[in-house]
Amino acid sequence: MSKPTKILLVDDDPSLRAMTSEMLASANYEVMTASTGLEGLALVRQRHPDVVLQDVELPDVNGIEICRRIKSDPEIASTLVVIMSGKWTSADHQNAGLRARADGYITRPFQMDDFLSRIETFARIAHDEKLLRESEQQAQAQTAKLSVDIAQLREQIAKRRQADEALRKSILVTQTTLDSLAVQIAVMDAQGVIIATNQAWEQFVRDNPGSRFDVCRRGASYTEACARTARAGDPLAQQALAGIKAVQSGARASFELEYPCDLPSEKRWFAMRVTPLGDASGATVVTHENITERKQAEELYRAYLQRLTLAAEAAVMGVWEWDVRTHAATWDNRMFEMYGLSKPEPMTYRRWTELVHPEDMAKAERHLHRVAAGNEQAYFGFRIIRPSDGETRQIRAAASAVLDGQGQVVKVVGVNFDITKHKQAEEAARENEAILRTFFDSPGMMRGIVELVDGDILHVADNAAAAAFFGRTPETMRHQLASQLGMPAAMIQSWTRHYQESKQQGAPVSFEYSHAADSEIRWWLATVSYLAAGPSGRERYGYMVLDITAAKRAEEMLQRLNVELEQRVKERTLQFETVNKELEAFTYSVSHDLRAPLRHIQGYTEMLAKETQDRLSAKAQRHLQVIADASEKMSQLVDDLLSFSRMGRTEMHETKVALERLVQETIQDLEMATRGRAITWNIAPLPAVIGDRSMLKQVFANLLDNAVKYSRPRNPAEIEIGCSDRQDGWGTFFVRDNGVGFDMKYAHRLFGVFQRLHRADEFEGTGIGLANVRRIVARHGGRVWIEAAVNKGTAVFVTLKLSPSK
Amino acid sequence: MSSSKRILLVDDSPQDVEMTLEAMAEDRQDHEVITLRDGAEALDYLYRRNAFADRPAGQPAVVLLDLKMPKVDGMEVLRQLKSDPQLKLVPVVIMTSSREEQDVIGCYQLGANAYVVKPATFREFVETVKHLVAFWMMTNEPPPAGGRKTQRAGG
Repeated sequence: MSKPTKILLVDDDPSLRAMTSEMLASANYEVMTASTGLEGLALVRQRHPDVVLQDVELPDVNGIEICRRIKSDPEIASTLVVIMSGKWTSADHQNAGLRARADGYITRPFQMDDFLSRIETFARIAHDEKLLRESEQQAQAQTAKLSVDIAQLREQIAKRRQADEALRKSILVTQTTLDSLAVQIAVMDAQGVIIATNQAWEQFVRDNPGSRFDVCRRGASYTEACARTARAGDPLAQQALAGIKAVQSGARASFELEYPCDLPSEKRWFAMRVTPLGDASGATVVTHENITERKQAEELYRAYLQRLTLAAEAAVMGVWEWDVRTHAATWDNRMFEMYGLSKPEPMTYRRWTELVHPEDMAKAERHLHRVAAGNEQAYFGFRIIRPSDGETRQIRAAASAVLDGQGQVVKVVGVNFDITKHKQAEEAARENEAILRTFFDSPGMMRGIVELVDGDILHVADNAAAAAFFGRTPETMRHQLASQLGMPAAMIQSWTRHYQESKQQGAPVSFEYSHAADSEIRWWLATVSYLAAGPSGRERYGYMVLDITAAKRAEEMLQRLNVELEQRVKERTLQFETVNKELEAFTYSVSHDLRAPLRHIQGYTEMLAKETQDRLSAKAQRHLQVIADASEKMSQLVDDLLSFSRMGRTEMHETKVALERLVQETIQDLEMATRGRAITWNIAPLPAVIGDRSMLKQVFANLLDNAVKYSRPRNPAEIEIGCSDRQDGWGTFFVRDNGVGFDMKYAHRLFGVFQRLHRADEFEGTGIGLANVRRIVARHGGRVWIEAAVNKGTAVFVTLKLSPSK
Repeated sequence: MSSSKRILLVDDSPQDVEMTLEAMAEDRQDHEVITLRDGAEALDYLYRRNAFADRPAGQPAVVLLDLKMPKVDGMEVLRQLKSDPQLKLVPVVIMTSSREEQDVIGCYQLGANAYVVKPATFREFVETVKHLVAFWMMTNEPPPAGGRKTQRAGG
């Protein structure tokens, strides 16, 4: 870039202005500044900056409005306007900028490197666009001028044709007429020898001595001259020669050719035309016309296109061109890439319509056709569906008309820009906003954002639930102080304290409070947390409040119920203790009062027997024996009952009990019962348990005693002791015998006191054993059950707490 | 009287008394047995008051005391006896039907000198009584009557 890009910086903040200006100056931009919108606008008009960096919030006129004014003034509309803002960053604001036809956005704050690289992009675009505009204007001016020339020329040619006509009618064509024409004219005979020339031709030959035209004097062979050049390898000369011959032979009515001709005097383009003279001689007329100016205009247009392509390249845009007459289209590579076509293909308007999203087709065509109908420019958007991956892309397009000399539109050229990512970002932002809004507005919970102001609380934003609490709407609550909303001073202080606490702790703070509302007390749970400093510079806090009245009431109810329950438990315990005491008293009295008469029955029976030993009959003696046996039996029953009762009342001393040793001891204690018996003992390794040793001993004494007793008819008897299951800290132990067993339908009776399934004359016992076992095991938290079948043996299972193994 | 020592038998059950005496009779020992029917009588006897105000001086060599009795029960008699410095040296053997732990421990805590559960069978009962009498009347040396108590009181 030869001249530095001129940048106008419009910003009302002096420090930002100075800083940004310095950054730009350091990157060698020519910087001018303005502090108000109107001052900036005036500078744009006076000094024509290339790029305007436009702040939005300005004291007089808003930057978006300034942008709109620049863009709607044709004098300065081409100025590149970049909106620069730290606040106007939402999609809506950017859309407002787009509507005002802003060329770009820079969001504050920014990194210097990023900023400068963006500015550089804008500067380059401004520069390229300026060049484009200039060359376009030039091209249009020249095209206009040229078309005037062409019109004149056409007129001349028309005249010339009339002259040709006259020539054909009359051989008497005056040299004067021919000479008056600017077009160079020569007449060749059937052999190609020049037989007549006009003055323009002769002048041209004279002006270019030594060129190949030097030989084209009257009397020289024109075809010979062409043939020579053709032989030298000039393809245009070969074409010309063939064309002339075709006309001479009558194969073609006329032949036209445009060719460049580097004359010693200047570079030129010529149009050559060959027509038959029309007489029988086979003579032809050759005209040479200088078309250099038209050709130059065309070259300028090509250069313009090239520059447009370069600019588009820099801006990641695709460039297209549409010939409105042929409907042919020309695309650059980036267009194909953007449209998802793997490689360039012949492009037509029709092919393009296939790629555009059907819903957007009508709108896009409307814009294009407006441009084709003579409107200068159009900016519009549409979607495309890429054939390669089926993806939908958002395209922004610009189109502008290319006119010919008559002001007729011949072509429409323009650029396409893929803004899909930009759109997606906008949509994501909108979606996020919607999600947050839904969350914020969710009913049932009051939420809001506040600022602390001079001991009061300023409500910045509140949801409908919160506003309703104060009898307001979110709109009428906005920017109200808590005191204005009717919050008592003490309450404001309390909330303020919690807000400050949340900032100090760097974590949310929750608290409960109650309000008397509508003659009932309601409870609330509030959580506040520090957010960040707001745009005002004051710290912002968020709050959430939940009505927990129902939970509070349930809690109170629960507490009341608990107290009642405790009272009831106390009462029950007292009743239980009373019953227990009564039971103890009963047992005590039984142990004394039931025993004494029994002893007396026995004592007196014996004394009677002693007194009457010799005098009683055998029958009477047997009666005395029955009395003695019965009382002894009764005495045993009383003892068992007492021991059973004691079992329920004795304090337990839980220790770790080595069960295996306990079982061995128990077997030794049974020596009397097992003497003379053949018993096979199968004792598996038993884990240690937790329990009262003497009580557990009694359990196994009972179980083993039963096993020994009820296996008496077996020879050998088999008794197995083992542990069948260990689970969750509990072990299942069993004692199994191969004895007489019993019918399981009576099993439920076995654990009752004095319940027996066998007659006393079969197996002795009072029936207290299993009742004791169950009572002890139950006191240890375990269970007892029994499996048996008649004559198949019995297995008794007990569960006991295992000692934690170390 | 001085040559034969006295046994004080306190039991409300005439049958138990008769059986006890029957058992003692089997040994043909000439011990003086005084039988009383309840705790109140026992205390009156020991304190030589009311109906026993005129009884001969001196305390029995052993008191065989039942627990469950009308009016004043055995435990109460024991308590008064053992808390009286003048009487606490008198040996007391509890003879009862109860083998309840609370009774056994309670009696020993109050200072009982022995605790015997009345056996259920007559034969054992007789043997037990014989053993008791033999031990307390023959083997055991009773505390000296009156001699030491002043010394103890003075000390």
